[in-house]
Amino acid sequence: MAEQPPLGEVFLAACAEHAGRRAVVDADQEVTYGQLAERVNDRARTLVDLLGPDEYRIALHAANSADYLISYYALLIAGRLPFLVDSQFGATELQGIRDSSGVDTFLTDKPDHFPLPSGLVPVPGSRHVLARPTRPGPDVEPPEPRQTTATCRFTSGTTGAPKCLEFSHTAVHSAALNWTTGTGLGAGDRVLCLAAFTNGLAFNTSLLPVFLVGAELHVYRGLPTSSGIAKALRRSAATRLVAFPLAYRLLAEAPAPDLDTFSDLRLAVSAAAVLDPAVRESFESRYHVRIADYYGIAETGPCTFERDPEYAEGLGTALPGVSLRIFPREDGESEVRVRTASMATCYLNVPDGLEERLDTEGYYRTGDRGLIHQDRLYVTGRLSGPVNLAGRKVDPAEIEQVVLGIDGVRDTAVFADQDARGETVLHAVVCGSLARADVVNVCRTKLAPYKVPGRITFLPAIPRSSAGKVRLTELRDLVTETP
Amino acid sequence: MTDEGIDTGLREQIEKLVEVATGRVVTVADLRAADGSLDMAGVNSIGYINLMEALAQRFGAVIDPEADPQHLMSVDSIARFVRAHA
Repeated sequence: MAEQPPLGEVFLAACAEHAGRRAVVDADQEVTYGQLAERVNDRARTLVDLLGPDEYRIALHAANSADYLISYYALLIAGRLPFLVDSQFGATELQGIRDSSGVDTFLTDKPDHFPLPSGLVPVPGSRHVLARPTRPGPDVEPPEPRQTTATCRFTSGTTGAPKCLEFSHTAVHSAALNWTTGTGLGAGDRVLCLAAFTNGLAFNTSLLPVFLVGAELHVYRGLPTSSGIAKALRRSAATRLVAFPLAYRLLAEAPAPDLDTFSDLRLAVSAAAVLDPAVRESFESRYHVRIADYYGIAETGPCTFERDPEYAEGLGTALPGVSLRIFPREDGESEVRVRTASMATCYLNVPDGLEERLDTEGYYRTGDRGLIHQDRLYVTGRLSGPVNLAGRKVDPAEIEQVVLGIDGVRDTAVFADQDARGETVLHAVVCGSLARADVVNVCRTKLAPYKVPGRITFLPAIPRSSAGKVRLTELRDLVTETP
Repeated sequence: MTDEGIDTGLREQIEKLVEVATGRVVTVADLRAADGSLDMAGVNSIGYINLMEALAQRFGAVIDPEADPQHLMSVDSIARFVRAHA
């Protein structure tokens, strides 16, 4: 794809084109495209005044809100590089981001609870506050981002520092264009987005695509309970719902749904985790709304979408600009590989890390097992890589490192397990004389809440091979036998 | 009744709901070892969502975690909320 103009310009052009239309609805505030552009420009001027000339890498550590959108686009207009950081990240992750990705300044909406000791500067006209961590990072110079990079996002890392993905202006714009074209998103759509803007599900379906076509973005706040989602649908009269599979399960199981609430809804978009076919069937028959379960990867952007309403299985066909292949591996497994126009350029803080994940033809090795049938992609499991916890990727090695640092822990192994509902949970096996609460407490203070192991089992020793590798099958048997 | 005036039966019902909401990953024993604190027992965000659904279905008690997060902190705070609002 040809080089695209800077994202800030693309966004302002969209605002000018749709100036009189409603752009964002958040709680009780409504903002038109014209007002949005004005607020973004004002915020950009404010940030230029507040930020020093060397403060280029700015992390957004905040929950979804209209304020979030304004700060994100203002950073682009102000010539800064926004890093979109999960608002649940704790001290360990933020310190890792600061030290390995060279982010010294954060925009946060929780100044009283910001995990790193920081100097705080209010941003006039915003709930966001500039946080400048007071403890200096290591002397090592962080790597320089590419000049073409427009936005950085994060995926799981193994050492406490989430891996930082650099996306060029062209890649972000391509992802948005491919999504709008491939899914038929139009100016008449009202999109209710339940996913955090930092997550690929929201970033790729909502953050820019909605504005490119002049549609409305409705912000959801709080935990996505069935009553909360129904209330938001009623208020927004949304035509599209963007949510994780969990939300569809809750709606499918809700005891007394108000069907009128769903009368404007035309499409429900799901991604990032496995959607149970029974949930899909129950939701669709109850609400008469199709769930389009698409496939996307943090490193590549959105890959597939089902355009044909007759198909209620699989993850759809390739979006424009996407090439899919199933690669037969030497171990007999079939791996999904993808090449897209919206791929990340590199990992800022893991030199060559992304390049090593590409095959000789530039296809990304996803670590997902799958097949293609009638041009549709089916993902049937994981072959390697991080654990997917309801749409968030977690590398067990990161958790193991934190648990090993707890006083009294001799050894540990963390792996993906299932709870009684069949949901994926992290299971930590710990060797040491301490209690569950000791492990939970330390993990809670150092890690994002969703990374805290749900299941914790204490064993005298962890079975390992002579090379030190955990013998997982044996370990699973042992924990099953442990009360 | 306990010294905090919370019915033991209600407390036990809520402990059981927490256990089910977490897919039995956090047990009643884990909760009691953490003095009833949901966070300290290791309840994660999916567990909280499932619990809120269960509280609404069982008791008609709808807790807004944005406005009133303190009601979701412990078994006792949930019990107090249920008693006051159900």
